[in-house]
Amino acid sequence: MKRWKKIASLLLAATLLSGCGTGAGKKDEGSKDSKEPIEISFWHVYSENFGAPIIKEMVEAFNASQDDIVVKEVYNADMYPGLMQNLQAEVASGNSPSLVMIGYNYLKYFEGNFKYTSPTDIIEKYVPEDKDYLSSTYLDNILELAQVDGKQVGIPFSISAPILFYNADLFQAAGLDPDNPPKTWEEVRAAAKTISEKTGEYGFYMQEYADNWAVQGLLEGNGAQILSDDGQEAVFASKESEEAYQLLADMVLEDKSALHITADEGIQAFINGKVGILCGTSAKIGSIKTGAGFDLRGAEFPLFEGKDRRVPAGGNFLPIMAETEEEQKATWEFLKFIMQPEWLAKWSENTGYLPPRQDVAEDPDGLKAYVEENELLGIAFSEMDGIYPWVAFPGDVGTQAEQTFANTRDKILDGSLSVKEALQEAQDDLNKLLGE
Amino acid sequence: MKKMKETKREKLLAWLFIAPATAAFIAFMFWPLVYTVYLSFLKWNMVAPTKKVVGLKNYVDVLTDPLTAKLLGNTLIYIVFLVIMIFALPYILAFVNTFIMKKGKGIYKTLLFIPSLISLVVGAIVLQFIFNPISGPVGAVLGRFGITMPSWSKTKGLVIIVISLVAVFKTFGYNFLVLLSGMSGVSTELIEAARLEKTPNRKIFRKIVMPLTSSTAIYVLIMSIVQGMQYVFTPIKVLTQGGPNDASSNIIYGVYQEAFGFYNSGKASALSIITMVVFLILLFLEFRYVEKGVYYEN
Repeated sequence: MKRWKKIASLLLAATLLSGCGTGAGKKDEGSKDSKEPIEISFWHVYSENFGAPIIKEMVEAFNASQDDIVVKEVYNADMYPGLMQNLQAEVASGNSPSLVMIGYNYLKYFEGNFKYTSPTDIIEKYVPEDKDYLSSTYLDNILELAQVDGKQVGIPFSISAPILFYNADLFQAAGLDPDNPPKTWEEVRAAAKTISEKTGEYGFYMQEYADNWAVQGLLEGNGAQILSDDGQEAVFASKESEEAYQLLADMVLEDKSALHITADEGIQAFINGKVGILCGTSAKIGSIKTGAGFDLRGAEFPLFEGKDRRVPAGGNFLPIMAETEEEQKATWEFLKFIMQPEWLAKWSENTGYLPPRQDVAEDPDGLKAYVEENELLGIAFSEMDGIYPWVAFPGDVGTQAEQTFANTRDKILDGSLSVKEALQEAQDDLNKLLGE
Repeated sequence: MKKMKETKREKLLAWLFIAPATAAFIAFMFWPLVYTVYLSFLKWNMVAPTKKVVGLKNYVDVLTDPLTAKLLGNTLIYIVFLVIMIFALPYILAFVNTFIMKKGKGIYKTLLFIPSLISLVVGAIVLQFIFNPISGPVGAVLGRFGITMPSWSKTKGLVIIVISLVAVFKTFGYNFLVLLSGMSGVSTELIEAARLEKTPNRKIFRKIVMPLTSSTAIYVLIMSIVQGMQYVFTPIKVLTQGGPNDASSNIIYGVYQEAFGFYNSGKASALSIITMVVFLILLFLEFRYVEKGVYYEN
């Protein structure tokens, strides 16, 4: 018995030791023929059923394409807020990932609170041969999505824009021309009214997540401004906002042709053929298409008569947080790799996001064929030159501002406050917060 | 002399035995509590290198914010509804199952317990589908009778009830089983004697079963309140994010949103400390007045 124990413990010790040994041995081997590969980490928010397979494919392809850099992808649950929480913990413990994925609405918060290196600095310092890379690869208005006061914080990766989805069968049933979707908000209102009167279903729904994204498109489309030019003060309680918001409120409260409900429920209802027109994010193209059992079509985000299109960008950008020179260079290499048209095309096909480079749509390696077959993504593409940043309130106020906007929307659309009062109240609250 | 040594040794041993548990308690309960008190005097977003000391400002902000009253009010509605649904109802059902039903007891036990196996997130999503006023089955059935289902997710009051149902889903079966086991401790002779004297069931429940199972009941009652507060967090987060206009937010979600949504760790800490004080008072009242009337078998 005793002997057995002895043997067992010896075996255990041996395996433990050999475990360490092989680990060390591998490292030695690696440094023999070349230098040790640099390990960088890439934090993203995409789960296995949305996006992650493509991210993994990109990372594997990059790792296989060269021997110097090894990228590790790290999934963060609960989208951007979840990643933000993990990032806070990681930074507090003295580490940071090399490359992270940040939602546009966290742009200013990220910029103000975390250490990152601007891609322009990296190009200037280490890779001067790439000095035209940014300006020649991306549209100016797209680069602006990830800028704070003109400084490039990161590079835009995924972009979503609000578009109109509509149910052509319901259009037909209501006697509307499904080949001629509404182009202005007035036309949207008229069409919604006809649909609800003729078919008994709802005419219109605008997505209601706990943020102000889609509403921002509505207000700015009528010439309203959310923040003052210096970005320090909320100025959205204006005549233009009021007019635009009133139109939506009238559809819900007066015509009773539009729904006021949470986003998941509203999109479910649209997929089930109970809503004529859905104004929602292009990032939902994939799931709406899979679910809808009717003739699903799309149209561009509506305009106000005589005014330009301004649609807010959703999605994310990639700032570099790597600290050492080697890591920064490696991260830059990886970033350039995944920004190639073929990878961006795969990404868009899989998720419905727009790529940050417009040439992806024309590139034969890219999305050319796909866009031709895919009307909905094509519509989102055609809005690309009208894309503006999703307003980020300065300092730490950003997330609270989105919540205030969501509450304001509830107050307006359930009729408990007039548009004017609700906007004024929200503006006062936010300006008080900004003043603190 | 020797005896002194012995007791000393035993004392030391005793301390040694509770040391691991104490260490865990200190690390995961008391230290965070102390730290929360510390944070409640600061203005800090959890990453900025500077922490600004603001004294009692966070407490003043919390107490003067109309939102706090709303959160407390909502929390109370949640608790009242949940106590009815996951304490009173299973209590009565457990009584029916133990003393009145003759057949099929086992099947009911199983059926009533099964929903507890569903995770909160799944439960929330299923409920959202079922209660979708436009395209869900409940809305369709009501529509047949000419009733338009209100959109619960945007209706004050109703939103709390629907969200609570997810927590009911989760805790009903467990509470039912615990109460059932409490009932099995009541001797059947007592009940039979009462029956011989033609005591109505209602009276048996009130005068015999309730007093004899009071220790189990008080445990389930307290757990219902505590879990009710916590278990509604997930459906709030998944379904409404506190909306419409904070009408479905409760105090726990409020703290979470303040801290991890708005990065306002000071105000969140102040709110959670105030909540803790409120619950300490409730707990004190419970010990003082309720505990006396509770019957413990041993």
